[in-house]
Amino acid sequence: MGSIALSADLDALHDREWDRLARAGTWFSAAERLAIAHAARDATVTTPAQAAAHRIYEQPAAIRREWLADLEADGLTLSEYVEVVGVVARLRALDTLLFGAGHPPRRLPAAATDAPPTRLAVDATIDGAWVPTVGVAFPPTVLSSVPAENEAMHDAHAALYLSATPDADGFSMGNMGVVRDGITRSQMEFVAARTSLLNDCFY
Amino acid sequence: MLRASADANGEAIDLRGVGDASIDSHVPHGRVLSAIAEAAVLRDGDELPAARDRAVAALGEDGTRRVIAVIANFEMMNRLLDAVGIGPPASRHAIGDAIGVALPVRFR
Repeated sequence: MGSIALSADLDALHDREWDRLARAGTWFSAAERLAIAHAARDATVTTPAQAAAHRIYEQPAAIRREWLADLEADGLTLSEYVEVVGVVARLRALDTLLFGAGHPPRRLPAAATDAPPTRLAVDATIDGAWVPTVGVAFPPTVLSSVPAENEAMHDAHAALYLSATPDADGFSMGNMGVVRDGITRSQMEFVAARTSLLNDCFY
Repeated sequence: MLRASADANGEAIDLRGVGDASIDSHVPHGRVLSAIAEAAVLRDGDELPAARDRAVAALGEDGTRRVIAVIANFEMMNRLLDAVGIGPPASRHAIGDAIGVALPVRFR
């Protein structure tokens, strides 16, 4: 056997993410978002955002509050950091998807626009995490202070695993009996737990 | 969530199989799932082809693709949580003992 092809829905997720990467975000331009993605993969870093990107991509379990404070001292705001976290976490997910299926990572896109970032600020507070969230910090709200990143995270979560909210086809977190592509919920959760342990993530 | 899903579906599982791949978790094809997760997360290009082939033999191509997608999802979620300092709530600390994994001091 060998590599396995991605399904149309997973290819479509990849396309949507590449489109997001190639456009201006909330705190970074398209060019800056792409530089962050490049830095995540290859460690060529010239800005605090790029340094953050590489650490998040390669060594997330080594991240400590003191390290984030150093980035802030170097000029990276917490809002900017949240956007970096979102971009890099989804990039890692899609790179792992292709690696696992037996394919090289997809080449990063070119910037589709030179528009400035939207700079859309929302009312968020520190409530259980190092970064502001809308409401208490837990997995669904991690990126909520940057709504575009939060929406993108939920898009990836629903396509790769299950939707956080009820879904018409039943592929949702609340459905403990869900079977997707022949994989039972317990099998999914076993894979989730094993992956988290391998990443030294203890949530 | 593993224990919750197993309870909801009346499945008897051994959580120690999460922390120690040599222990049978009683999750169907647990060792196959564990092997492909390990190869994918650790970027082990030597082990991955065989792990993927075993997964395809046991779960089919669609099932293997979904397993890889779930691994990818938790590669994302693990980074989101670790990058912003969200550790396990106190109510879940005992799960570490059940899995056979010591919770780092910084989370206690």
